[in-house]
Amino acid sequence: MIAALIIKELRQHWLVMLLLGFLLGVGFLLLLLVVLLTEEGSLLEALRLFLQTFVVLALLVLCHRLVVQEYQGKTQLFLEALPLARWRMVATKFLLGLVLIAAIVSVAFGLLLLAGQRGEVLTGRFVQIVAARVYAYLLCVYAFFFVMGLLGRYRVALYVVGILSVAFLETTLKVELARFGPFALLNEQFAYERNVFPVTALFVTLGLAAMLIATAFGLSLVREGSVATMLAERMSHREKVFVSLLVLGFLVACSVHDEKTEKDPFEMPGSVAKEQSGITVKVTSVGKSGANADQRLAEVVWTELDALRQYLQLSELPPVFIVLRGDLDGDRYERGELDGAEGVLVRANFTSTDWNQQDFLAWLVREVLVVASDERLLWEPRRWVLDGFALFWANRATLQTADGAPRTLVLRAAYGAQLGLKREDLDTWLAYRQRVGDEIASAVAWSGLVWVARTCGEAQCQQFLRAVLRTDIPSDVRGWWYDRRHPWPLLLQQTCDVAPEDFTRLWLAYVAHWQRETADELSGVPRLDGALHFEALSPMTYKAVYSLTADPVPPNGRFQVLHGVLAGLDVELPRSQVACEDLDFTDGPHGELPGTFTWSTRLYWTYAVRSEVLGCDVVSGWRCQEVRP
Amino acid sequence: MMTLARKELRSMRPFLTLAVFIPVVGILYELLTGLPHMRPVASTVGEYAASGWESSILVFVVFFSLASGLLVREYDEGTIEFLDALPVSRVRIFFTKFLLALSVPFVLIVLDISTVVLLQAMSHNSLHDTFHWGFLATALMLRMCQALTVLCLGLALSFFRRFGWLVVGLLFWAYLLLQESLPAIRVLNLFAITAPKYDGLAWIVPWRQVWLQLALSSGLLTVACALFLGAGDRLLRSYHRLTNSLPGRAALWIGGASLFVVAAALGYQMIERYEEEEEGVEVPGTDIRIVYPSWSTSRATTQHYEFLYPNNLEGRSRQVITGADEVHERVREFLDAEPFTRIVVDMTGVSAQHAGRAHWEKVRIDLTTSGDADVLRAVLGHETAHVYLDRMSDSRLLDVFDSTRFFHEGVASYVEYRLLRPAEDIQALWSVAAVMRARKQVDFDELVNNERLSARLDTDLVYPLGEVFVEAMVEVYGPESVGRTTHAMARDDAPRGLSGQELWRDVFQACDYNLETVIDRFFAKLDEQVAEHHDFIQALPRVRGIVNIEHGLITVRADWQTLEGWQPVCRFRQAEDTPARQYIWGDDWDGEFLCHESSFPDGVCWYQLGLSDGKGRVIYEPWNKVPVPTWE
Repeated sequence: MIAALIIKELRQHWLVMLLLGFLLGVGFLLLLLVVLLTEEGSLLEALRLFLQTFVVLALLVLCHRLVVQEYQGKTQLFLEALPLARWRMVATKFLLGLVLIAAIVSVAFGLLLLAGQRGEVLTGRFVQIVAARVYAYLLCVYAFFFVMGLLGRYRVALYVVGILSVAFLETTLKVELARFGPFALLNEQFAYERNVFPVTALFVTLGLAAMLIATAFGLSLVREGSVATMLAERMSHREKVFVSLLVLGFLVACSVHDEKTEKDPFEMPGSVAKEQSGITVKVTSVGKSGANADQRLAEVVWTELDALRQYLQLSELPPVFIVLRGDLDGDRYERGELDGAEGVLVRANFTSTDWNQQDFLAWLVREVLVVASDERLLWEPRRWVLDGFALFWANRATLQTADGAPRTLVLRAAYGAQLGLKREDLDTWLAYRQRVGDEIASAVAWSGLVWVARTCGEAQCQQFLRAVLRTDIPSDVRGWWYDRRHPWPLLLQQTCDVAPEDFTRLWLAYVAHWQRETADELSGVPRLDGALHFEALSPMTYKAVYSLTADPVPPNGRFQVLHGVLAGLDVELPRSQVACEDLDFTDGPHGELPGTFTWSTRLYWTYAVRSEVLGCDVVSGWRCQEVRP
Repeated sequence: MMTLARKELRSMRPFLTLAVFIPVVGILYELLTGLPHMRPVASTVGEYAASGWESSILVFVVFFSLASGLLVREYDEGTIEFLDALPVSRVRIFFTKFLLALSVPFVLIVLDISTVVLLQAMSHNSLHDTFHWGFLATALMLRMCQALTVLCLGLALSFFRRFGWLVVGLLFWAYLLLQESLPAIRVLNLFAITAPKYDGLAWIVPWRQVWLQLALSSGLLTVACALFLGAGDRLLRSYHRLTNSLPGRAALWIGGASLFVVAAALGYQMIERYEEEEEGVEVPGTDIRIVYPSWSTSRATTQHYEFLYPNNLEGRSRQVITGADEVHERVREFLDAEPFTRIVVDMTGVSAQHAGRAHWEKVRIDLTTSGDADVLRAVLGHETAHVYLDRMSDSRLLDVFDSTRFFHEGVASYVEYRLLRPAEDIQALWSVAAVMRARKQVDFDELVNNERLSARLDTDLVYPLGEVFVEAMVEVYGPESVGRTTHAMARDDAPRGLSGQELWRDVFQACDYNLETVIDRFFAKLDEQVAEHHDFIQALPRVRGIVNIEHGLITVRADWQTLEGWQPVCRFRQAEDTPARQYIWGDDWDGEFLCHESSFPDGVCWYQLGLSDGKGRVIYEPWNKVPVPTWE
């Protein structure tokens, strides 16, 4: 009777099986050629790819024919009428499909062993290991599709949930599925492991296969097979809605769940630390500056941050890690990549003779605030306050002195005003920064805060800064809402009782006063202007020709062209990606940049001159320019 | 007609729900997990307007599934009879279904683009002051074009029922296969069309791809329509007639078997042809092709290796085999590793890419790369180090290869040059690192991200830079640090999913080492090398490329001040993520390098110039790209 059942199956599906065999054969040959062309280390790689791709697709088809169609068409009822136990009928179907697919895979395996003799050492153990992997995997995957076939109307939903679960486990929960059971059997060692059986993976896979087979028989035998018959029926509309909602619910759960990777908090072995009152500062110079010097720096930074926290009433500050980087200039600092919650990693050359602690602290305070606020404080409409605050904080002691503010900052602010400063520049602060340069813009912003402190009182200014530089606002849509509802003019009015119009009018007048006062000194600081144009070397390739106008001529006779290529739709580049050409003005203000530029490349550039009077670079203004003739 | 449309919309409801649901989740994610007013258009187009590989695959699966059931469901469920009873022609039914099916991708893409617009509206500032409407419109058009092709393919293959997926699998692998030898096949790449290529601020429309894929879509749509109109019925009836008669069945069997024989013969032919080509290896940048006839292989076993080698190179092989165990021991002792059973060394092949390659417990060495036994033994040591590193890290290094490749190659190069080669050999390697440092091209973030390094500069820089990193590590923490960090990779409690510097910080921290200290030493060592190779760096000219595109040819002329012993080389690629083996080497015509324009259907050609000393040392300039006209 079993033979008759097999003949019936073959008669019913012979063409499908033939077609399947043919397609699998073609697929296998394709994979073999890909493996040969890509110079993989073993031809058996083709078998791994074959099992991962075509065999899975073939099983989908095969189980659909053997199981789904039988139950959906209710033809199994005829079979049940035969004098044959139901389990035998299911077992026959199961084994028939398994034997067929195993035969195809065995042919592929055998061919590869034959073909691989020249470049493989085919020991018995090696072949056994590969065979164990292949057939255990095949059994498990086949059993899976067989069970899915018996699940009838729910199988599509379960496929969707299954695929999403795999993606969710891998990406969000960081579960390594590649090291689990059937996936591990087909890992990168598949074609190369010659000695060790993947025992755990084999047991897991076979266990899984056993469970799936038991499930398959359970489904098809329970209540005289009525469960499988019922499942095979099409879904009602209500069921469709219910299952869709279930799948969508699962999708939402997957999307919302965002579990962080659990890892040890960042540490710096060998560093000296100052940890107190919830503020952590760690410094390491690898013995280059000595433990005492490291400790001193840690103390200074800690003191500064503690004062900052009290001044701004911040609930917490991220830990700060300072690392010596001998190859950096003394006035260049770099932020390392750290997850926001982990802290601020800073690279600086604090053993350099150019090291300026106050300058570093101003930079660091700003970075700490940026990290503490999840970068919310970088939002343009209130960015000027952040930029100004870094200098304001570093030079806060001068507020109480009779002779006033640091001269270099006054000069920078006056220079910034000289280049043109309007009320609107506060709203378009990023554009203003590009126009005058970061250091000049920061000094201009600083002058605004100095005016507030001197005119309205330091306590009011502190209230204003506390309100603007809050870091406890949630970093989500509520942060946007808060920022929209609390613009700086409103906060200024509330805390200092100054109307925004009055503030800008009086402040601009204040800076204009500085401008007049420093006119003589500023007359020596060059104002830069210039252009960059492109001359064709070919229709696609151009050279960049610069021409700088500096009034007066740069005192030290040198100037720089800073430039970089913008990617995508970007409008600015981090300083680390900007190339610098250091040039002699006496050689002429015109010349060519090294390299060629292709049509439509977007160049981000400016001229810069070091001003000793201002203690910083002055720029002609950053520009984005497309390479066009 | 409206009733029909309503009925179709009802049946498409799950897909439409999905098309709304996916972008809505995206918007919610943006609003709930980040600051939406810090997301200007430049930072969101890659995620929402354009479509990368992963999202393209998702799109493919969804739209193909939609198309798979759209027409044949009517046959399978017997509802085609009811539709035929309606006063509407089948053509109308077909196009109603098709047009309504197009609404699914349209809704999805429009909502995706709306996400970009919404976030830009919230993030608008003085620098990011435009919505880039033209760019977004191009994104909409190209993504719709992609969706259209997928839908048409699905409709045409839907009559194969589930075999359609197998056919797609075959088409996919056939494409991958052809891509290895026929770069122009990229014109058929469904996924490349939605990866943005920039011409200034505009998205270059790859018209050649668009027209070809639209033409393909029309063809597929016609096939699907013909099948739906009745050809499918007739085919089905013919098939049933055939299977119901003995001669018919016999004919099918014979036909099937013939097809199989033809496919097998074709496959055999291709393998044969490949084997013939394999015998010859082209030396990049020259006309030289090394060819040697096929010989039978011999085997030799030592304490730690099992060698396979061609008989015609027995002398050279013997030289490698002698002393192989000594090489093994030196590597093993350096890495402080436990020995394990023999490593298989296959020396029967030749490779256009590598002198050697390691795969878990197997190593392949190309004996034709050098006649010097010391060099070949050094290569063996290099590859043995790879095998041990993978084994010691329980293949974790391979799991995150993008982040660890510099370390893998760095350790292997350290072993090769410090333990197995004469001391002076390392100077050539270091000189490359020194040039890169002097040109300010070394960025540690990039070194721990192989994809980025390959995209911008040169994937082979992991050898010199990785070696210097390992030197720095050994100097700071001693030789045992290499083994310790490798073992730390495999620790059970290691957090998963880390990459780049985050991964290395965790590994170093687990060993009680400070990564920053090693990075500091790494740059200090590079600066030492810059001083050491100062004269070489000064003498080495920069190479500028002058590009022309005429008569279907892309020409790159190397503009450089000649230096004795050095020659310019140029290579091309289709995209930033093109694997190195698919780079196209430009034919050299008196310092001009040529390549066919048709190899770049995306509308962008990447080229890279470099200088080669002819002894394996090549110093490359960063990759450049030029827009290629696609409207011809």
